[in-house]
Amino acid sequence: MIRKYLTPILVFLFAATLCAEDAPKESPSAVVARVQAALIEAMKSGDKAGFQERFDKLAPVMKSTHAFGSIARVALGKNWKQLTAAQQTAFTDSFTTLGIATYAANFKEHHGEEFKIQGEKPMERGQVYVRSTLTKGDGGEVKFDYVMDAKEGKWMIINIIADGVSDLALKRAEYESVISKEGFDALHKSLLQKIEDLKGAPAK
Amino acid sequence: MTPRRNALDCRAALALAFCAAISFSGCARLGSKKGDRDPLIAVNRGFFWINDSLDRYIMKHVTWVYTHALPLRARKCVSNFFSNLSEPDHALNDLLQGKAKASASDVGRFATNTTVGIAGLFDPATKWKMVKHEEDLGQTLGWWGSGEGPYIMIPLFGPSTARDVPGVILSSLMKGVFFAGASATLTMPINAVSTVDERANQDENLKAVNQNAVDRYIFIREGYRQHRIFLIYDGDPPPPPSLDEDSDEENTNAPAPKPPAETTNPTIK
Repeated sequence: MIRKYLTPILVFLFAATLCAEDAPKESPSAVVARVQAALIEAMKSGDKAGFQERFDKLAPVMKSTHAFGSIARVALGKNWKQLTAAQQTAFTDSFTTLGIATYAANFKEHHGEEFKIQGEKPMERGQVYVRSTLTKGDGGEVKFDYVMDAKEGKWMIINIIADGVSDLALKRAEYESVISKEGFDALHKSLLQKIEDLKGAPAK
Repeated sequence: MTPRRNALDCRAALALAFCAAISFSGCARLGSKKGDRDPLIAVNRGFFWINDSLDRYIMKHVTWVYTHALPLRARKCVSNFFSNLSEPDHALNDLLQGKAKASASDVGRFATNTTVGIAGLFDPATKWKMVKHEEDLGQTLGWWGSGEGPYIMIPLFGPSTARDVPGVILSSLMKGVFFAGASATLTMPINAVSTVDERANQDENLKAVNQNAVDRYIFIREGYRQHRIFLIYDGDPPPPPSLDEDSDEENTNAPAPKPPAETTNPTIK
């Protein structure tokens, strides 16, 4: 009798232990907070730090919090499967560099801006939606929301929505348009050019 | 156009004429797939090229002169003046969406800024915590559940959709009421300053588009459509659908708007 119930209990406890080990240690909001803290720090370092220094400081934080590989794959949509493994790797690398470069080029001046996390909301497929607000120095607000997915035991950003505009949907529509008109190589070349442009971007 | 006609009506007339031309030509049906939200893409890209060229070779330089010639405070007064003219439009659309409190606030803003703010040049209403609600007819139609219809690039104006065009016309006409009976020698410069002021206010956004876009037409189209949904939901839209590489292309944007359950309007900006 005891054995009848003991076996499922032991199996359950074993499974629960495994799940506990796989459960992300950092909550979705904490991951977003880490990104936003890094951005504020980059802004405070200002132009004194220079683009490359900001890029180098932001890169480890962004790589550990953004699922760039997944984002790149989804951004290319059905075109992803048409690429060779070498093209996929090259595109993911460029996409990752462009993502970090965009942060480094834009978050470089601090005029009292601050982020505030508003809360979390569960989404389909086990994803989590984190709402936050950037209050600018002049009091204006921009809503920054994040779609988080559990990847390899931790929560990672897979999409950012600024004032209702989804970065992933925007890129996906753009990339589809460029590939259908000019092909993958032209798109990849555009991304590389964007990276070069951002390195020399003038002060806003 | 008679000399007395308000120049601000020109934009409305242009939008109306453009839509009529599209309707009569039946372009909206040409080459469109089911669910295609940009069936006029070939025409739209053409108008985008025209608008973009005009901006690059004329408006960008005019704006540069304007922003460098006029101190920031003076430019703020100009923006306040034109923004104040939009308040009746906001108040009307608040009402059409059942947001009586928001409408009262916008009427109060208009009254305050027109009188204490000296014809809207200053904005004491904001200092006195009177919240602004930037509603227009396009948002009202969306709030009522109307679909956005085909995307339309209006010549000399910019991005819009079939749902938003009536709002463009209404907004221009309501602003035009303030200059009814005025001569063209007065209204034409006002219209010109309004256009330059609007371009100056969009300067940073346009720089961001140039910096980030790999296809500027698509970037502006998708950004416009998604941001309009954000506004219809008063800045609190439902999360977008999850995406994977096999997701349907038409499923990449925020869901179609439905009237929000609550009629209270939180601050938008």
